[in-house]
Amino acid sequence: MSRTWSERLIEAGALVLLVFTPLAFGTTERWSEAAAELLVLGMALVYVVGTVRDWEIRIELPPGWLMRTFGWSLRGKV
Amino acid sequence: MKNQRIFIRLESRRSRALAVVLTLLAAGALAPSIVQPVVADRLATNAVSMADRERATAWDPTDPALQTWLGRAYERQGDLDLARVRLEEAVRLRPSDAYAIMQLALLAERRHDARAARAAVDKALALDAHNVAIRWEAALLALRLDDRDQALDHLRYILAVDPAQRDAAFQLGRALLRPDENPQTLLPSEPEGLTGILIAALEHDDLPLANVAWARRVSLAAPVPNDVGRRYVQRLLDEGNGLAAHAVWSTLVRWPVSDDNAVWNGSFEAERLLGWGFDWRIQRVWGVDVALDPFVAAKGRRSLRLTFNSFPTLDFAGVTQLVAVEPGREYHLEARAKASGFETRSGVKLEIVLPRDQVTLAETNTIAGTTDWMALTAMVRIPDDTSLVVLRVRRARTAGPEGNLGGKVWIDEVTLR
Repeated sequence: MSRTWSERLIEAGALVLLVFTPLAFGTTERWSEAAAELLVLGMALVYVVGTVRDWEIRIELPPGWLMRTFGWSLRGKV
Repeated sequence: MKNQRIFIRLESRRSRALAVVLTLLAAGALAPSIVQPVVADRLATNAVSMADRERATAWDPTDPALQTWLGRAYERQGDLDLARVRLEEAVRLRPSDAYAIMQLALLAERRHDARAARAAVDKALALDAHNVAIRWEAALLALRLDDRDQALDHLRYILAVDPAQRDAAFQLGRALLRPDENPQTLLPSEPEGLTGILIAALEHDDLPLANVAWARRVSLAAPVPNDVGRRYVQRLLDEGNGLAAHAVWSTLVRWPVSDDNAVWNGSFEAERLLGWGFDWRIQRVWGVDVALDPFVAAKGRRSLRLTFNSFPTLDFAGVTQLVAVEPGREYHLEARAKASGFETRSGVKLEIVLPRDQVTLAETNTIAGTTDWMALTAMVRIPDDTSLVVLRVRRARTAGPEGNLGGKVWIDEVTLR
């Protein structure tokens, strides 16, 4: 099954993250955190644009996504 | 549990365009929150003036750490009002930030508001009682508020938990104690904590702290781990403090002390020589075999046997013992020795030398040839500044030519009284 350009880009982004995050000493510095977050944001954008081309937006939410979102929203507050 | 799927159908070009635009807008809104902290961090790193610091904080005003950092900078500049504004903002952003609250306590003390300072310290400690940095600040603040007991409590905590800060906490705590107060009261009472402090003091070469920790530790019922005691003895020996080292050694090594002989195991009756502390130390030398002889003894069951098979130029001092002595006292060194086939003009003798420069204080007569048990004796006066000497078995090289060295020498009943 041939993959679309958006899937290739997302896969490339995931591979870059896989290599980059350990190389940046666990991505604990501000700059490395931002680099990783921007890359993830870019991957999300590519995903949305790629699905829009198929006349629909598909979103798959993993189990427990609501709790995780709630936890993420508390980040830095406690 | 299964993944939850959401499908949004886009049935016209307009709805597709709307979806893309909304996505870009969301990304555009998220991107600054990712980038701004990085910019703020970079600016803060390079900031040299208050304007630079303000600009850095303005890039990420929701970061409590930046607000605290700016507040401390204002405090150092003496602008207490602005410092308080920034620190209060940090606490508002993160109410559990004990460090920012501690800084507010310091500010209150600078404004001579002791009550507010104490309240803020209590709050900071309630939030983060195990933070050593906060404990330090609390101790120093308590000192400024003339609350010595509170300061000592915080210093005791630091001493108990933080190996890196133990030395500083102990020095400050000791300075705070009254002359009639024992420094041991600064230390924890649990054996494990005390052992940890003793190890840390030895690692950091802090002998005063090690002495106090040892005195308290040895008074507890639980035995001191042997390796720790051994390191402490060695440290005292390195320092040349023979009497203190001997006192520690006596608690570590069980050995019946029957008389006032300063030499440890001078009759060689122990089954083996420990090779550390105040026991005999044997240095392997080519051509000389040193061993305990279980069949020959002047008294008791064992003696020390030296078997020679070497050149006449042999200069041997491979059997030594550190001996704790009283400064300024005169001692009588005596040993029993026996020789067999040890033909040389330079026989075996006992020497007492200083540990550091190896200056000889006394030496006995020598033994050579084939003899029955005979006495090796010497008188020695210990210098007033010395409490540790080295007792050693010596065979010096001969002045003139002679044949190869062979034969045996036994030594027993070594005393220094």
